[in-house]
Amino acid sequence: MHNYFDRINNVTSFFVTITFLIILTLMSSTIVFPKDLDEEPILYSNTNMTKKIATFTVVYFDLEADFEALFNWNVKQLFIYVFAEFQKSNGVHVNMMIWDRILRRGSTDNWVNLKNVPAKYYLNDLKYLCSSNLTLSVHWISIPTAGVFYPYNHKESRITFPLPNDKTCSA
Amino acid sequence: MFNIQTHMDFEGQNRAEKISRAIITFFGFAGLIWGAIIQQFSQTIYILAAGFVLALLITIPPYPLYRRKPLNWQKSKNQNSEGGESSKKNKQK
Amino acid sequence: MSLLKSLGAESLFGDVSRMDKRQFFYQVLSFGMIVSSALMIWKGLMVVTGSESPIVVVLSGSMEPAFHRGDLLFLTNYPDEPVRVGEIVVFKVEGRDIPIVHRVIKLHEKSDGSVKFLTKGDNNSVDDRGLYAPGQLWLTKKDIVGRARGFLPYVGMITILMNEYPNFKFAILGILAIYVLLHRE
Repeated sequence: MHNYFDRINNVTSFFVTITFLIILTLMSSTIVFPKDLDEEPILYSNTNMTKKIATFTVVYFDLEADFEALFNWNVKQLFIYVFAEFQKSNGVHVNMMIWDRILRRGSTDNWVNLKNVPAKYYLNDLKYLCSSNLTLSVHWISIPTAGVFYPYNHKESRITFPLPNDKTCSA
Repeated sequence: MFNIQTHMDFEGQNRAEKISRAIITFFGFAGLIWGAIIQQFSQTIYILAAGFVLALLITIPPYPLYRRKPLNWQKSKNQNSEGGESSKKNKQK
Repeated sequence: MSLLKSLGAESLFGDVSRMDKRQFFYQVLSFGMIVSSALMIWKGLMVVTGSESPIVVVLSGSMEPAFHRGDLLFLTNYPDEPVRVGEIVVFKVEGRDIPIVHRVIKLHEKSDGSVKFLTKGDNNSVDDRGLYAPGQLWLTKKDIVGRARGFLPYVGMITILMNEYPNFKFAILGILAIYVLLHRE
């Protein structure tokens, strides 16, 4: 501590240690906060509105859920997505995201209330989508400010419905 | 211009180290608590950084505060080079 | 000269002048120990996480606002954990060395268990097919470096600075090497 270099060195390394401890506190504080919604998100699809555009199938759905309670100081954003699962006739199981949205902490519209919203990403395995069942579910992933991405187990909200069997299918 | 005084006496160095640690720890705690109350971690970081800058400002330059207790070196016994060198070495440590 | 003295450089070179050959070899050996410990830790991490690159730095802005350039990601790549839609994966395209951090948006799973998937960055408007190797439409398990499991913001900025300004990297490494070799501790 007898010259500038040593003093700056000393103070800076102590600062780095304290910063590290604070980040560690932040990371461990995540345990205290709720990690799942209180109620299941409401997911519904009006199957009469499922459309076919060229080679794509567009599904419409309603979604209602309040995500505000999931935000705490260690959550930077929530990535909400609806994904579809179906089985092709050749035994291949397909999982595909059809809609997503990023919710940020502090923004005012973290209560998601959508009605008859079309999918953002269309299903394009057309010939396998005839008279088969489609399952939609809602999931989200929370991105922390610093720390661990928590695994996947949230209250599920799944709906299964058949896809229309129209004239494009008989080909 | 390069004649910057770097000297702090021993007690002063001790005091400077304690003060810098106290400042940083205090601002760290305060930042943590304030950030937890308003649930924004960025505030915690700003408060801690302010504490760091404050600690640097207060403890790095050798203020007279850190020179209150200079050590009493023994007077060199004789004027020849040996005595002069040994007291120089002591001062550098 | 007096500026250098105030910075403490004098005590550093004072140490050097008091060193003899044996001390110098000891310093070199200590330096070697530090380097090999660092290497062991890195390799150990590779074994524990199962990934060839357990810590990566985000290099592009294609996942904003989740990840910005300079963020650090911790990956795992366990073989019995299936990749799922919505997860963030880091993959490498054949022929290119840079790891890419994107999200899985589509997954095809055959009845024999083999999986292929498609990725897209949150900030990109199209999926990653343009980034894959020519003729490649899907990613498979072997292209994946790992799945993102943990995250630290801004810490990787140093790596980006060192990559973009190689002179800076050599300067820092040089100074560190000199300091470790010469400082007596």
